[in-house]
Amino acid sequence: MMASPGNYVKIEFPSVTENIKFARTAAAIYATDHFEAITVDEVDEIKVAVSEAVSNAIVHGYGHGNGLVRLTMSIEDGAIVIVVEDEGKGIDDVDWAKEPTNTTSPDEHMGLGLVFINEYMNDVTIMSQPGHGTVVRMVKVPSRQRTGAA
Amino acid sequence: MSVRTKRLGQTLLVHLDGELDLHSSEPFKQTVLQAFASDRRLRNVVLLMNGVSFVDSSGVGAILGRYRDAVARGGRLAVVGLQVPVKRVFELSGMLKILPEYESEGHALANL
Repeated sequence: MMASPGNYVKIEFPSVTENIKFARTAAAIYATDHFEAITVDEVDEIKVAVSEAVSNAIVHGYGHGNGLVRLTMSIEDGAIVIVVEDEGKGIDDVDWAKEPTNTTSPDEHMGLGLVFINEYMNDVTIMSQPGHGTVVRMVKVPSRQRTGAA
Repeated sequence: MSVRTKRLGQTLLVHLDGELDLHSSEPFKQTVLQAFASDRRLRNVVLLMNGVSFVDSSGVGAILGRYRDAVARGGRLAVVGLQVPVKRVFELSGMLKILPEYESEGHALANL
């Protein structure tokens, strides 16, 4: 059965690291629920992409401080659309942030988060306004299109 | 994520189980740092990762940090038992160009 038009799932949670695992697990369940033929590799790729986007919101958006992260998942034209939003400090230069090894983080982060997102998702759009937050929209098109019972 | 360690001469064996991300990489990092701080002879690390089903860039960063700790002591860090999704992340991040991967704990210990 096809997903109902306009149906979506939205989850909002505080910007604490213990929620990262929940977010990627929720995305994996959403993907397998709507595309029963999705491959294990594709689900793993979604998990990595969501983990990176949520980690970025916590580390870069809010600098490990208080804030809210929103994860929205929907189905559009045979694709899973995942949006991760924060209302943190935003990204001054999105193109710079996309470059491997470029990171504003002083510790052990390697600047690979956006590299993984771009590698594992079919389409990625990052919208950011300094001082107002960041929206990362990621699209995954499962290679096998048989849909689930959702 | 569970982190269990065992000392074998100059080598710290670290059993990891679970998913390694920004949250769970902190106890892993602290466990290795504390072991290094409490025993000056330790210089190598073998990560036994058969039970790790997920790693993202934060997990990769935490492992790279421990690799640097080992190298700073004149030692090495090796990995054992990478599951398919973990190996893909390692390959994509270039980790396997600097970290030796072995089939078993025995192979790793014999080659360090």
